[in-house]
Amino acid sequence: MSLEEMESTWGSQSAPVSDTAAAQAWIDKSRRAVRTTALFLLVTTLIAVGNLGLQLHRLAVDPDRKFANSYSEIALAALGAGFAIFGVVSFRLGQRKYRALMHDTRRCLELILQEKRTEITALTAWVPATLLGCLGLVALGKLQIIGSGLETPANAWSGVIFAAVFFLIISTVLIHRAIAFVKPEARELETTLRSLALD
Amino acid sequence: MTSGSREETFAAWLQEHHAILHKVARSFSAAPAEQDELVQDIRLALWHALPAFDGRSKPSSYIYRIALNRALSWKRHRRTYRAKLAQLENEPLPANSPDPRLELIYAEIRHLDGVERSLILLQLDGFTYDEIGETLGLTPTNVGARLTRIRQKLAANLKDK
Repeated sequence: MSLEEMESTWGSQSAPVSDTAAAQAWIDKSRRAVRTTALFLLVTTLIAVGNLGLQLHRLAVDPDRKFANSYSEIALAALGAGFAIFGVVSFRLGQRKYRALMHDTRRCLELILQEKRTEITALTAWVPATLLGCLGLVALGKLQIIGSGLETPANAWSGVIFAAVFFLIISTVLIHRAIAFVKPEARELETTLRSLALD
Repeated sequence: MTSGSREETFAAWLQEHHAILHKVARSFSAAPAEQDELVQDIRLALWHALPAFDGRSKPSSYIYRIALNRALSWKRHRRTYRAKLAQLENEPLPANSPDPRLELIYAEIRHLDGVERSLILLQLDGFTYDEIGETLGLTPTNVGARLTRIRQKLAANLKDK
């Protein structure tokens, strides 16, 4: 087949019939799903952040509440708020990808790559660091409990180890996601960008 | 853009240019199920991109930009599945294929890399070097040089077919 034949065959191809109504219905369904997710995330974040604020406020104003007897509530509230904020950021990144598509291909790929790198940093550094902070809170609370004699050191440290294993599992899952999925995607984007940059 | 006019424009664009979506999907995947999925994804991206259209370029050029950008970022999520598809692509065409010559052209386009696919698709649909450059973020000179190489590659691959 010659290039001229290829061009004439290409020009004579017939397009499949377009079902505009079905396409519009699918778009409407997607928009409803996005709105529902956004609303759910907003409510969850408000509750989680409100709960964390409430715990800190109680610690500040209630003389009976010490860090030792309220650390678990604070750690749980901080964890909840952290996950809610992570959900909101992920959702925003998901929506931003549509904005990137409006630019020319080179700029679009650069923007998507930038987001992938941010995601890798979040998954491998920021989330584990937040979890480490929560673990620090738990350890600090347990130290105070040991100091006040409310719990034996063995019991207190077993609680810390339990929390450490829990946070380690979450961090491992997130780091695995970054290494197995997000990094290969970023590498592939870099390859396409390099291919665009070639003269 | 009001909600009503957005819906009208979207419907009009799909009616007039839906072939672009299918051409891009078919050039980036051999499996009909994947092609349908990509077409849906491009439609959604197009819906989101519609308010940003400023009329400086042709709607077909803008649709191609969205479709190619979506296709270039979409295929990355299906690496394993695509590896299996690559094996299937090397198998002979089914006897009942609607147009074996067209199937052959799409198969050859799918052998090119993402940027090359985008370039040849735009050229086959009659876009100028300036328009292609604007869509992909390349200079017209670069577009010309690349297209010459791609056409040579395609000519060599299609020679005995």
